[in-house]
Amino acid sequence: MTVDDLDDKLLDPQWYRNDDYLEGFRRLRNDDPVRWVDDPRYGKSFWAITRFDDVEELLLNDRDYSNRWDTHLPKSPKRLTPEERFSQGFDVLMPFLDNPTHDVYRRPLNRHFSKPAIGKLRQLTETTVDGIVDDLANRGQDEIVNGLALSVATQVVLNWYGVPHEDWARVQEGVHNSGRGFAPTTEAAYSGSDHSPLWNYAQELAQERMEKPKDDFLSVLVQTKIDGDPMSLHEATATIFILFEGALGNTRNALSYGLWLFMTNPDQLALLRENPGLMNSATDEVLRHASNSPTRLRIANRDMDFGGKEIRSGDWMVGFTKSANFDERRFENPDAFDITRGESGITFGAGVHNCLGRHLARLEMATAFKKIFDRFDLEFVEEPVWGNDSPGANLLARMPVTFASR
Amino acid sequence: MSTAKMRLAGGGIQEIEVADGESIMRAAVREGVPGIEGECGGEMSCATCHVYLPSPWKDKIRGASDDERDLLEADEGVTEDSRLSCQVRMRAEIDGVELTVVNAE
Repeated sequence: MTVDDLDDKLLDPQWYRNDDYLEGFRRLRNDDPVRWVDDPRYGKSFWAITRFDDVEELLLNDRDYSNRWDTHLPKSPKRLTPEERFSQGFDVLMPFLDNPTHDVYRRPLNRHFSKPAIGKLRQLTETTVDGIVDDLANRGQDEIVNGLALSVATQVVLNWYGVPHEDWARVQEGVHNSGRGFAPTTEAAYSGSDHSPLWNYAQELAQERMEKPKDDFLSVLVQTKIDGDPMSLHEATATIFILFEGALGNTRNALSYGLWLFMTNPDQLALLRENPGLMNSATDEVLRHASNSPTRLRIANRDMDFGGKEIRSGDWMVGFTKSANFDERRFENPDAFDITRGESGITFGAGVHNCLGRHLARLEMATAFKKIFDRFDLEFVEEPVWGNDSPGANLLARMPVTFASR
Repeated sequence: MSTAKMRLAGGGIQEIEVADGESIMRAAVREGVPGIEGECGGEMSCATCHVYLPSPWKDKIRGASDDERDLLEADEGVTEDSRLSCQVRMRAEIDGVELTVVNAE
């Protein structure tokens, strides 16, 4: 395999379904770490950026690298019209905005997602996970990805937001159908891209909470002031929409990946059980491996040199998270799952677009790992199935597991 | 180069060097001051660099912005002297400033 063989593989979700792609990333990091990739099937050429330091620079330097197109590599490179962008809230949503407008929308939300603010959700998270784990004890077996992991990701967040229980399935379905949540799938490629059911539901909620506030987080959220003025219905809808999008799929994917990592690395599970103080470090190591936000798209704002290459204004620059997280230049023995390492890499991003919900995701994962490993020994019922609808990293699509009380 | 004295939550004082224009958080992370995590890198999103900046120092520079104040409100130790140290930049007026780190780690 040479780097020339990789150009038609990088964007193929199926290439990521076994570990060969890790060797491909290694080749790119060594031989052509900022590589011009032309895959006519996609219809847009781009720079593939695979070393940690380069991807970090892409994320931290938001003056030179813009989010104006998207924050991840989109399934289609077709330009969205202003009307299409408006219909999905791209005109007011942080991941698609650059500064100074980005901070106008981001800063008022940070107060709800800071480490101390999320720390106040510990009791809610523990109670919610206890309920899920009690149910597991009764059943003794579960399909992890869309069972346990999706339940944790859904219930903690929707309980906190104040979404009625009877609507939880609607939110799950809406996130899945919107196609932005890095859906696990065994199909060749999952083509869902209908954002309107989730958008419409977010709009219903926004309208209800604006007219009749309840004692819940959504009611606080829709009262957020933007540049000193109350949010409009469009802004409130878009904000609820993105808080659904960000919360469900990503946490499910990272949590199920983490359970797989511990089940296939029993020495690390034993180490964690003996040293519960390693939990935060272990959670970060899971996140480094999962790399469950696998591509980062930025658009060059000016002509410049980057990694010795001649970049032109308007070029697409794509950072590959998993490659950066497995860069030997940054991480010693990067392929090893080592819970004492304690670095999440750039899974949550860096700089102004750093994941808003990262402290909540860490809390949910750490709580779930603790409660599951304290109570159960886990065994695979059958081989896990890998499957992802987007390029950049592998995802678990299906993982049936038995839970035996310890 | 200026200095800041960090009174630690676990006891003791750590003196750090801070470049002019640099945030106290950035210098504290570089020098390993316990209780200053600076997880978000200074984007004002994590609130893990909480310090007390008492008089007379706090009167020599602009106070916290509304956004900074909003983030601080979630921390139980918040007082009138609370600041996020990522938002306090070294300048000549506060060379030698004495701050208290609020959290132990």
